[in-house]
Amino acid sequence: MKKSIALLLILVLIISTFAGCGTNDNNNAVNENVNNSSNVNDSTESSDNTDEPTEPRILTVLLNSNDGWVRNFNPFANGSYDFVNGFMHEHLVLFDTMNENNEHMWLAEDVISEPDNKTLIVKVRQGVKWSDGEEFNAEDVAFSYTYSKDHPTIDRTGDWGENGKIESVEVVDNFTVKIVMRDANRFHRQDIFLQKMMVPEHIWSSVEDPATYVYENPVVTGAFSVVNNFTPEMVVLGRNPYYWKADQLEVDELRVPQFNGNDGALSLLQSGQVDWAHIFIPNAEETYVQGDSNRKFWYGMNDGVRVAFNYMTENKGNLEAFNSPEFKKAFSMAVDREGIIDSAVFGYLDRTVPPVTGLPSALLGYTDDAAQAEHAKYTKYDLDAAKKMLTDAGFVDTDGDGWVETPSGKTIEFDILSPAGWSDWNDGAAIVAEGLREIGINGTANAVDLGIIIESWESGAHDALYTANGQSSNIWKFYFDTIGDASRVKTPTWWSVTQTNYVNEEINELIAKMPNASDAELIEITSTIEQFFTENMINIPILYNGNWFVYNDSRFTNWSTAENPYCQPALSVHDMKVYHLLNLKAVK
Amino acid sequence: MKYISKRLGFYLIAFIAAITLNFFLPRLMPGDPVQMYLAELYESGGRIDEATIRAVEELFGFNTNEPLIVSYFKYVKNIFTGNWGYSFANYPQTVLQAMSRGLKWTLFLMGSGLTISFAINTFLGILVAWKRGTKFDTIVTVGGQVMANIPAVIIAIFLSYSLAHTGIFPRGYAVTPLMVHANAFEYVKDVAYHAFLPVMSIVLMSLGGIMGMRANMINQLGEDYIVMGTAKGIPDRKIMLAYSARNALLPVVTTFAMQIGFILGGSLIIELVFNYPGLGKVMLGAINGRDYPLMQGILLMSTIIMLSANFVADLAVLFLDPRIRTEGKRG
Amino acid sequence: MIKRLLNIPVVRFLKESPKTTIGLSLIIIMLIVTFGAGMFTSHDPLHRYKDEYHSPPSEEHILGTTRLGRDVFAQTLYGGRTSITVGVFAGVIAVSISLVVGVTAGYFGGLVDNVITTIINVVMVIPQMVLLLIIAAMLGGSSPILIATIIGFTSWPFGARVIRAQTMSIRSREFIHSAETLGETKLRRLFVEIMPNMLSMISSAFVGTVIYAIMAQTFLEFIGFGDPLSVTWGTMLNHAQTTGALSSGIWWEVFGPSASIIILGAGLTLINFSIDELSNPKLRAQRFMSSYYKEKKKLMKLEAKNSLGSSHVEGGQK
Repeated sequence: MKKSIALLLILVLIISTFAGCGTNDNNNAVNENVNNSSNVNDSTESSDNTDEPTEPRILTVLLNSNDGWVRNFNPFANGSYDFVNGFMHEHLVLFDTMNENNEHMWLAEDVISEPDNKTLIVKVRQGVKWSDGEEFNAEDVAFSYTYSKDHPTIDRTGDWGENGKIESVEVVDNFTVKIVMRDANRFHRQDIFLQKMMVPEHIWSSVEDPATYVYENPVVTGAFSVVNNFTPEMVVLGRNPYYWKADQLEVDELRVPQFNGNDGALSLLQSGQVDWAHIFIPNAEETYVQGDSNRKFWYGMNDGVRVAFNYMTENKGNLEAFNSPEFKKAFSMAVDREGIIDSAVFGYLDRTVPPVTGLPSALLGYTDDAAQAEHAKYTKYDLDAAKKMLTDAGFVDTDGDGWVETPSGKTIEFDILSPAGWSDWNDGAAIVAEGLREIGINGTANAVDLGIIIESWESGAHDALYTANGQSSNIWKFYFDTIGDASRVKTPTWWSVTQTNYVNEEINELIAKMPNASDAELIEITSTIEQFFTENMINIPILYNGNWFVYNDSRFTNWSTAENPYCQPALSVHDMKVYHLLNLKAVK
Repeated sequence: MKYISKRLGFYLIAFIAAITLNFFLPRLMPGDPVQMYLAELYESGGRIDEATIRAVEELFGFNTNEPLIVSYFKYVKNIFTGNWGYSFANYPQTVLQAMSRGLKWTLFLMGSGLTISFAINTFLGILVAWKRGTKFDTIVTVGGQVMANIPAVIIAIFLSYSLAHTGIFPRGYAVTPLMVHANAFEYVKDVAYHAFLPVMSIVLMSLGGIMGMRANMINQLGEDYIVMGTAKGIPDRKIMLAYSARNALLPVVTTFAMQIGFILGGSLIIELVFNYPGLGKVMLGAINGRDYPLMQGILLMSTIIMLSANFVADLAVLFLDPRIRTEGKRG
Repeated sequence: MIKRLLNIPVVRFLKESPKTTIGLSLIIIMLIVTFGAGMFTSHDPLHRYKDEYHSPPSEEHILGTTRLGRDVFAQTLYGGRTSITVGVFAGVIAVSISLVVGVTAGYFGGLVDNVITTIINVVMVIPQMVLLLIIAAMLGGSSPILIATIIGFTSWPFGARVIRAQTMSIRSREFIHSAETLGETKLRRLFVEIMPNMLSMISSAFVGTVIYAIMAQTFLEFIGFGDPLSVTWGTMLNHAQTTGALSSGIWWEVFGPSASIIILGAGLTLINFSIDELSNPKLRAQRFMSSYYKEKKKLMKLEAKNSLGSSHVEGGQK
């Protein structure tokens, strides 16, 4: 019977080895492929694809985190990977969200906004070809917009249908398209072209169901169109032979390794072979840079973080406090913002405090000087001044429990919620609560499951949230979403009014005027809104979230950095990343 | 034969129970999956706008207007026909595809860990029972048991921290990422290099098995036939291995089956600490992303692993214990 | 006087069994240090020491500080309270369930037994860790008590099976039959005759579950399912991980909770050993065997000395 035991053990061994072996063979075959077709590492044979005598210039980037790549370059698919958007399918206009939404004409030579605020004329760039050699022209542009009319499942931007934004799209001539919108809104320009991918009419017009179509061999205008190799662990893309900006592109091959989670990304970064990534690295100097002077990172400003009050809370005491500007100003002065940045975020972030309305870095051009002056007074960490302000405003401890009550004597007690697991937010909220308790306000930080927070938006059952401000492509949309859209109060929607349930009829009227305001009127409106918000401290601004830009300049230089911020550097911004890519210079 | 079919019948019931559990669990979870998914996207630095929101709503397509019972039977049928659904987060991968890589690595870890620890435990157990009462016995048993009761998390963290941090062993991955292997041997070496610490953790974690083997051996050693053997003059080693060990093995094999669950759980933990790309990592990603289909798939898959391991153990018992073979009924 | 004290059975038992003594002392030390945390450290575990982020151990902070400037030693001690309480709580729940289920199945036998056994087997076959993860995720960012409940409700099958087996074996023993003949009611037999005999089994199961519970809790919290704002050993490890302590050589933050868990785990294991020995005299042979070997060695040494013709006859040396 010893034999049977031995047999059994062997069986188990075999099974487990086969499991591993399976992967072995798979990867092996694949690795051979990689070896042959893309000349990585130190092979000296020349490749078939390029006819450069030197080694191919390879850019290695980290895109989404997932469990393995799946070969589907469909831009309409629900899980479409980030390399499709931007590096393959390009846009008409690029917007630089870091530099006040500056426009860079791309596949469009020019865009003319008619004075009626409804019509946009697109001058299509000439001389652009698709990667299969066909010409890119107005037909393709028009098709890219009208395609979703017949396929509502891919209409993500709400262009068509009952509440559709677009009235009509018309091909005027081979290189001109006229788009007419339904409503007059001077901001359509930022809206409708933002990250809108251009697709070839001659390919997609014959596709029955674009949402589920598995698109394995892409035809694009973008920088990379050739699939050199595709495995679940790594995608290797080669140059588009017809690329219209070929002479500016100094990258021959794009490699996108697979990784799962931040730890996985860190392991890859530690190998020193990754050129570009978008990851928050705790203790980056020690864990990532590790003395290699080429490994760099720049965590610039992204969108803002704030403490948002629920202005429809059922708790009367809290509501009274939340409606008192003095209470909120004292609150703001009790927040050790520097402490939060130094401890929870390792000191990486910019020390600028966002305006009370939460304008993202792209829209900072709309801040108002008077508002900013007021803002500066109440965003410094000063516990004594905060305590004094509370007392002067009538918030004193009347019942001796150690916490202040409202001037009318009601109890103040609230939780500041943050999603459990978002550790820098959890820590930030904890530090905020610490400060509050030191000046006598009974606030507690509470990290709860995300699902519960979302439910509480709908039910209005929260008091305060440690949350974000959101971003938007233009100032009107930003105000509308975060302040002016009363229909979204108490709904489960991110980056909208539901975070504060604050409704102010006058302000909403002003916001409604914005789409058709003249430049001067626009500034007047934004100034009014900024001043009002700051004087009443509607939100408590905390800090700007970081733009987690990580890069390595040993193989490519001329990155957009803190010293030379010529564009939005983040890999997650699908239009500007192309602009960034084309400005990179290969190291000789 | 009757024994086998009885066991198989039981496994079928268990599997259906698992499917049922699987069906109801995610539906009881709080939170709107669309919003959760968006939140995760936001947290990882993604840009959220109307387009994305619509896309995600499409993806999740939560339009269940059909009665629960109908969904349930559809679900059961789908499972048995191999249609385990699409993974939300990894669309358009199906659940089975999304799990396959993770599964391979987990099986590899579990398989090697189990084999090695089984061998070590059995051998040490025999040795230790034979040398009962000596210092060797005390050190090994106490040491082993204490080690086994240190949570897997701690063992993994400790190993990861001390050895990996110093750079001797890699932190994470099954093979060096971005590396192209020259040949199969290099590949195997790389795999072994990366798997060393995780497998060692599993072995350390399972040292408690020594106790079982030892206790059984001790029981056996008191039996009459052992005394008879010694009296007859059979050499010590033969008695130890061929007589007592063989009989002591039987209960060990049955507990082996119960251990599988423990090892599976432990390897999930170890994978997470070592960033090893097995089912554990896939599981965590699925939970964080509220990827219901994938979570369900993993629960089912791990149940299948448990059931298969139990079945293997049953076969082993069949071989080892003649009593089971001859008797038709269990008492 | 001292001799009489030393001869009380309890003390003698402790003396003869080093495992029990060590085990008990470890546990008692941990309990004192955590529940009496105030006596050992003057720091508040939640107080943020500004400008002392991630600072290494020093006189002021015995185990250094965390990323948020909190004293690690204080956190380890205070956090231990929650971790231990959760472990014990989970253990109580699990053992209670196993007891009820196991005894019912073993004692009543027949159909009841079959049904219960099938249930136990089915639940056992579903992987506990995976189930635990899913339920934890389902219920969201859990408070320690919630975690304790979940663990308790998923780890009972193992104990139930063992208790059932033991019940069945005891049930068929003679003293039960005689009690039956004497006219004891079924219930009385259950509580007065059977249960006391299983005490060692029950306590062993309890200790085992507590160990498992502490591990499961630590694991859940480590991967992020605990309440990140509470202080327990698991959340400390999680915090260390998310702030990159593990990869940047900040060993002190990891040391505190790990060392505590190891000490507690070792203590509980040793206790489990002694419980085993108490109930199974065959295993107690271990001690007799070791004293046997010791005596044998002494004798051999004596013989060796004598055969060399030593002249140290007087003196009282052994």
